[in-house]
Amino acid sequence: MYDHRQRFEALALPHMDAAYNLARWLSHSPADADDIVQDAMLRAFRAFDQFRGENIRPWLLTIVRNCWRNRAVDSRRRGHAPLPDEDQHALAFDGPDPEAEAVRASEDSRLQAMIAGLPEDFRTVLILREMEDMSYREIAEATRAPIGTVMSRLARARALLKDQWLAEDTDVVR
Amino acid sequence: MSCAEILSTQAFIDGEITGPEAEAVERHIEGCADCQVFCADAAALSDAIRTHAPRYAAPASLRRRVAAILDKEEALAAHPPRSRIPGRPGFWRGAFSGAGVTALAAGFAVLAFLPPSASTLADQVTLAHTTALMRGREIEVVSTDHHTVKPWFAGRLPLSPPVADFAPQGYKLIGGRVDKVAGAPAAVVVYQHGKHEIDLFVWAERGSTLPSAALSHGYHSIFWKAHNLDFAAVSDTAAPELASFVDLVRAEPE
Repeated sequence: MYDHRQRFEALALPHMDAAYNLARWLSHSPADADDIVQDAMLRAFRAFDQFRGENIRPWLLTIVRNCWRNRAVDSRRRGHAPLPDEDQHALAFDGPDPEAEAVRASEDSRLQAMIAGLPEDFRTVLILREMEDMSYREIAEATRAPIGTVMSRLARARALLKDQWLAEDTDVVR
Repeated sequence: MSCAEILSTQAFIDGEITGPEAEAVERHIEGCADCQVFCADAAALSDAIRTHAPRYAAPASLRRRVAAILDKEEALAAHPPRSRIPGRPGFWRGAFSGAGVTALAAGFAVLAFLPPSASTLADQVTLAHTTALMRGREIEVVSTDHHTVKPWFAGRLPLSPPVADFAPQGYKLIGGRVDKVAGAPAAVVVYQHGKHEIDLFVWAERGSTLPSAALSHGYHSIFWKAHNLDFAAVSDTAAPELASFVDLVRAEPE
C-alpha cells in the first residue's frame, strides 16, 4: 500500500501544475480549480491500478477535464450557472463593447479574455500545446480525440486568436 | 490560411515532423506565402501567450490538501471496515483484470458525462455496483444490525434510506456505503442473497423518470420511487429473486 502511494506520488505529483493550470483555464476560478484538482487527484489515486500506460500526464489531464465537466453539468443542473462555455463566447466573438473596452486595461487581461473565450475544445488543445508543450499524441490521449482532430482544433484556435490579437493590436506585438 | 498543406506546416513548427519529411515541409514553406504568414503568426501568438497569459502553478495549499486527502484515502484502504465476502475476490479479480479493467475505466469515463436519463440509469447503477465490488469497497459500514447501519448514513448524507434486515427471508443485511449515481450522492444498503450481493441504491428524487427494470451487462436492476426517494436494486442474482427482494423492501413500513 505504501509502495502504491509512493508510486502514485512519484508519477502524478510532478504534473500537479499541469493539472492545476488546465483546471484554472477551464474553470476561470482559483477556488474551482483547487476543487477540481483535488477531486481529480483523488480519483486518479483510486483508479491508479487501472493506469496501464507509460505516460501518466494525458491520463491525469483527462480526469481533470472530466472532473471539470462533471462540476459544470452539476451546477447547470442546479440552475446556478451556465456551462462555462456558454457565457464565455461573448467575451471573444461579439466584438468590442464599451464596458469590455474599459476593462481591457492591460494586454494581459485582453489576451487572457480571448483565450478564455475560445470554445473549450479549442482552448484545451491550445493550452496543452502552448503551455504544457505536449505532443499531438499526448493531447489526443488527454482529450480523447483523434490526432487529426487535435491538429485541426489547434489550427482553428490559433486562427481565432490571431484574428483578434494580431489584427487589433499590431503595434504591441511586433 | 488557404494553403492545403497548412496542417503539415503547423505540425512542422510544433516539432511533430522530423527527418526527410521535415525537409520536404520546409521546402514547401519556402515557396508558400500562406504558410510563411501562418508560421509568423503562430510564432507571434506563442510569444504573446508566453508573455501575457500565465501558466498557473498549483498553490502550496492545494498540494497540502491533496496530500491530506491521499492520507485519508490510504488510511481507509489500509484498514478496510471489512473485507469482502469470502470466495468473491478471486472471481472479481479475474473478471476485471486486464482488458476488462480498461473497458470498465473507459465506460466509467463515458458514463460520467451522461445525464441521468432512464436509458442510462441502469448502466450507471450497474457500474457503481461492479466498481465497488471490484475495488472491494462495497461495504463501508459492516453490520447486520439496521440500528447501526441507518445512523451511519445520517452523518454522511442528507437523506435517510430505509434499512431493514430480511435474513429470515434469505436476504441478509451486511452493511452499507455512500456512492454516487449520475453524479449525485446515494446511500447504498448492501444485502447478501446466497452467493450474490444485492446493492440497494437510494438517492434524493430528482424528478427524472425511472426505468422499471433493466438488464445491463448481465446485472438486473429494478427501479422505483417512494417517500420522495429514488430506489434501485442491482445484483447478478436471478431476476425473480431480485424482484422478491424488492417486494420485501417495498412492503417494509418506513
